[in-house]
Amino acid sequence: MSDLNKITLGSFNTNYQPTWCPGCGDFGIWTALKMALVDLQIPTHQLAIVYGIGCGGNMASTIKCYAFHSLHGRTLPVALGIKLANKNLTVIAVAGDGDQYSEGTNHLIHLARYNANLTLIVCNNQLFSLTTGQTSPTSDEGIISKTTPKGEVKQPLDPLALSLISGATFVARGAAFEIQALKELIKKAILHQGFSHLDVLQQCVTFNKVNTIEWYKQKIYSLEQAGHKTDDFKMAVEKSREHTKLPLGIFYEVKQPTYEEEISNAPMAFDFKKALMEFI
Amino acid sequence: MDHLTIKIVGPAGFGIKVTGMMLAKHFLRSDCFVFAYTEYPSLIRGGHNTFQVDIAKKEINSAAEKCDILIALNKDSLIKELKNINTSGLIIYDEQIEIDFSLPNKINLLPSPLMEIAKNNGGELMKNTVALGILLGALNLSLENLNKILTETFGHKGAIAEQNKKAVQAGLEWIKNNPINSKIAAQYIMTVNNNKSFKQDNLFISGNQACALGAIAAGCQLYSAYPMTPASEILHYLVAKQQASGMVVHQPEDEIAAVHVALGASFTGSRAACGTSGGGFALMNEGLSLAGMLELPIVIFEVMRPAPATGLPTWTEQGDLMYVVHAGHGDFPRLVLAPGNPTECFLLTQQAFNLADKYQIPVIVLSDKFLGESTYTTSKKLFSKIEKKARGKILIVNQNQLAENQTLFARYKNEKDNVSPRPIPGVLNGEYIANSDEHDEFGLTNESTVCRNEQMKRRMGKTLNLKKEIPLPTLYGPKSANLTLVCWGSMLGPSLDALNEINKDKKQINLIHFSYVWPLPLGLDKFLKQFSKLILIENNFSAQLGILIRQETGTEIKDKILKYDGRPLWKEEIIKTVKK
Repeated sequence: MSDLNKITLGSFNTNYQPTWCPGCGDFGIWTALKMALVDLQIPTHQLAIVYGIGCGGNMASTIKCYAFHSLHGRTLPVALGIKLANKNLTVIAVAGDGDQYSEGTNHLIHLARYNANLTLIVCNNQLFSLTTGQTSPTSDEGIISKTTPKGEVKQPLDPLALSLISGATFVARGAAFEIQALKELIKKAILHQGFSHLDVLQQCVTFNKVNTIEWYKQKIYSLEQAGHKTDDFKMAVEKSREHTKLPLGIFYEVKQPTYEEEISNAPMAFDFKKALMEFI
Repeated sequence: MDHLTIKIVGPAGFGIKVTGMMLAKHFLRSDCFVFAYTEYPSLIRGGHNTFQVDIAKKEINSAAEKCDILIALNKDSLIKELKNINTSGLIIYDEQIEIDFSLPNKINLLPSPLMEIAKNNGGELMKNTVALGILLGALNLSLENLNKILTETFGHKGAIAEQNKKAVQAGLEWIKNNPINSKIAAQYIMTVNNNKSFKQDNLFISGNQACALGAIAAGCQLYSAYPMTPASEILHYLVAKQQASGMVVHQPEDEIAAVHVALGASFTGSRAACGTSGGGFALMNEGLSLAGMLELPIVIFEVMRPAPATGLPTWTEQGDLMYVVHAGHGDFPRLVLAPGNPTECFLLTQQAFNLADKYQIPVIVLSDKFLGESTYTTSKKLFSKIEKKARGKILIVNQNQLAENQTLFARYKNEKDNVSPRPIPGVLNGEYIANSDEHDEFGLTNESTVCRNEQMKRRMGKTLNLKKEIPLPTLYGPKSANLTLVCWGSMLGPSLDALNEINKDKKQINLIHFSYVWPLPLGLDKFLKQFSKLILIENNFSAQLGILIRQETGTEIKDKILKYDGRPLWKEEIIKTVKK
């Protein structure tokens, strides 16, 4: 490939400026994603990104590719349809925590079990933000929000534990403010042949005054440095349920046949004459 | 006799459908026209199940209200069906059933040792097959031809075919050795072709099977459906044929996923469809609206059953017309097709894909349990009509570079016909945003007045072109008549049979049938004015097509024949009302 055709950060430019609040974690995720796409040299016309609805979903107008800005919670079935129609495309779903872990939970469980070769990136700020700050399934107990003035009483969901026990073949967590590390995780998730679930911790500077960057920084640690083995399913589940400290990195990775390989049929010329004989 | 109706009834799990289908095929291969209609409750074992086979020498499009011969496999079923037998009908039943209830006067009884013969020939489950043998003997039908059908039906199960053949033979011998009973049965004999060879001009096919074949003919590449009666047979057929057709058939986690998977595939350039009944369609609503916003072609089969809610899950109704016409939030164009018989299911399904592609809109093929699960005799010739696949403005190669300062393809730009070119992923310089937010011509989010008005006008402008393109309803019978029946979708069958019956001696009535139910075609008001008296026939409570016709043309059809008890309208009911 000549330098002229080289894919750069500029290749993804749409002339549309992001609409996020200054300091939003989505800037970090957006940057890391584009850097990963550059590193992997994925051409924009061979790339399909499906977005959900929420602040994360508003990334849709800002990365040049075949973009599909779907409905709240529905990124994964759309992404699956794209993959089933053309398995040569790189297919990524970008959703929010309210989006994917509330309205779209059913799809998450089942996509994990189908194992189509897709990458799911969840911008997890533990809050509904585009609707101006209500609790989400990943909000911590006790958090005060517009819908929980006395503090959240529901237990938070462990999304990575959920996808692990549902059969996801690549499960990881990154952070929006650790851009280099996040870029590497996104690359690994894209390169993984199968369903990859990447949860990304992110700050919401406007509505979430508890889970700030400083808060996260005191809790996070690297799984790799802690000597975690990514083929240890039992340990992965245990780590995915940790709350006092928040592990980052790859929790689990395993190779399994992909859904699109198993379901697709070689196109054949259908013999109508023969088929009609069954009805005589 | 030139019309014979045979009904097999009994609990689920006794092979009633299989027996009925074999009987129906036997008559088809005797050069008769056959119509098969089945009723069953929503359970797997027990209950009251019926399979009715109507046989005629000429075209037949619906089931008769009452039968001539009833084969009852147990006492409960026999009692339940007494009201559905013609005055001088015949009941074939097990001799152990005690007739301790009153019977209509002229009914003929043929008690027979069904159970005893079955037990000596493979067990109780063979009762239905023994009855088939008795019927064969009583009606002088060819054993050789039936044995061939038995081999085709059970061939893959080896010994079972042989066991069934033995049971048929035993039933046949019993009636042949029983002259009194033979004589009673003889009055129901219909002269048919008992030769080995027969005309192979007709198919015996259900609406669901025809829709599935239509999807294959249209080159549908992805079908995504969650199981739901009475639409599941489309899924079953497409799964069974997926190796040969190359279609990807996906059973998703719910109907919300079903429609979104199909939309993802459509975005990527595949012809995609999904199928369900009313309840599942309810879950697809947001996806329908999304198809409207993204202008993605998609075909949705909605095989109706009586609602609200779970309703009567295994019965029939045309109660979802208003719903599918209005489903999905917001204003967006759509097309609703309602085939009247399996031939139309096959042809209109292909049309559905072509029009979805041409206008880049969702198209709903609206069928129901009566059409979907009844089996019709239909001309094979019409099934060789494969329409040319017209994919509209899909762009699979883009020769043009993007203009300077332009980063995306103008996917939603204004065009004369309101339909813009649609590149698919993989096409160089075709990148755009399929955006559920209101968007500009590139798909970029844009909330301005100018952009909103422009995009709305363009999208909604497709409806007028559609109204111009779709045909006026089909006229059956004489051009002018004192009275005109008006129906849509599956009610074509009983209406047409009623028309043929009434017009047998004197041409008195005609019939107009809508298979394009939304939008209604341009010029419909003028078309309707040429008929002096209209009677609306609908299988629902509110006369839903009548409401749409009045809304769109101002014509109110005051006379109506409506039915909403889960059963289709019988031609007899239409004839009775019309004659009044």
